[in-house]
Amino acid sequence: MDEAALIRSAQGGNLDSFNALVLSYQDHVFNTAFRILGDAALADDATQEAFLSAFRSLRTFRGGSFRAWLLRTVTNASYDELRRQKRRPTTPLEPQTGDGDDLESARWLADQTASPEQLTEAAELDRAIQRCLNDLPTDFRAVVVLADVQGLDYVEVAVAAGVPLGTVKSRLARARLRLRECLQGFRELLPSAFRLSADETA
Amino acid sequence: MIPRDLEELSAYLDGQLGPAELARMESRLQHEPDLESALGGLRSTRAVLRGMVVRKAPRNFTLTHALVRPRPPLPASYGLFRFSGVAAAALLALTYVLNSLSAAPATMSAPAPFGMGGGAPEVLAEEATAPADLQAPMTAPLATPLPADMAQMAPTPEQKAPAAERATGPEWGSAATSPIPIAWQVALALLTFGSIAAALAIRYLAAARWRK
Repeated sequence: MDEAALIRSAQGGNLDSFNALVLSYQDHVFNTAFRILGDAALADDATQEAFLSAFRSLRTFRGGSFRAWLLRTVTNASYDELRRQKRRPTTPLEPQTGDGDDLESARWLADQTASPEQLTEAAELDRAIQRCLNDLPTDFRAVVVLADVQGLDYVEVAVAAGVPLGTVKSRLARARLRLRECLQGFRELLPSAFRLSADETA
Repeated sequence: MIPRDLEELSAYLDGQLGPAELARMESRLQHEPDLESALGGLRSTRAVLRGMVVRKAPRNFTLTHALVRPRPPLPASYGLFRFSGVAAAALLALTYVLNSLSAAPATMSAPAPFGMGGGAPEVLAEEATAPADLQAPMTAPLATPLPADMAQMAPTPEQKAPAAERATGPEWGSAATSPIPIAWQVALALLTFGSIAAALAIRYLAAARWRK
């Protein structure tokens, strides 16, 4: 069954059809939540909440990009999670490194065949980028995650973030500028091809 | 770099400029090294972000019936009955309020008890000429003896009947002069209960079909 048929069937209340969509998109949705929230446990909660919310409001989907519509639910769920965290800050139960970062687990990494050194380097780079993302204002972070991490086009980002196209352009440009400045602090971790020259960071 | 240049550079990088803006930006990039350098920085930043590790879902997020407690799809008539039930209930409550508001002033302005000057003016005018010997039996039922001048104002037996009718007027008056007739209230009550019952029945049948 193709995606459109699955969506129609799920709109009629068929949970199996919706679960087929969940399996197709859960990596996208979880990754988006993780990059916005910067925490795996919170991203897990936001992802579950997003799929629940998506199933309940599926009738409001009127066509267009289903991926963008779905990512809007997880963006909203992530915002809710952030607001909850501000109200009730909690201490994570997961073990942490000395500098307060969650310990990385190799199962998260895309390349399972990499050497331990490569895994360590990749994990360090990932943490560095995530730290720069976390330093962004939430609205900027959501836009840059949707556009550059998830690869949505501007129209899809506008749908997913629930903002006008002009706002997407503005936020994305400013977010990239701030990330560029932040990443300068982690130059040694960046692959040589991506290292920013002094001129580029001026 | 001014914010507008930054936005246009970022949009240029993503291929989001219109033809005119694109031509202008390409021309500027050829003559402005700073702009070219800033573009390189944005391109590198985007490349770093695109190269981030994709966090895979740590588990399946598929939903279960217990988790979502699915609500059966309800026909449009459910909403119609629910709305009419609520609207009728609201109108019914409003009629009670209006009737009670109009009944309160009617009670306050009801004619005073017989012999206390509550009679109609035309009756009182004739009362003054009534024979004195008829006054005693007329005033006897009253709990408080009337002063002589007021007793003389008491009506004759012939005049008493219409006055008595007026004295009992307020009870009938509140029902008869209510702005909303009782028949309307009954109709609204029936509409309220009928609509709610129909909405519940539709919901029950939809749930029964859903479970199958």
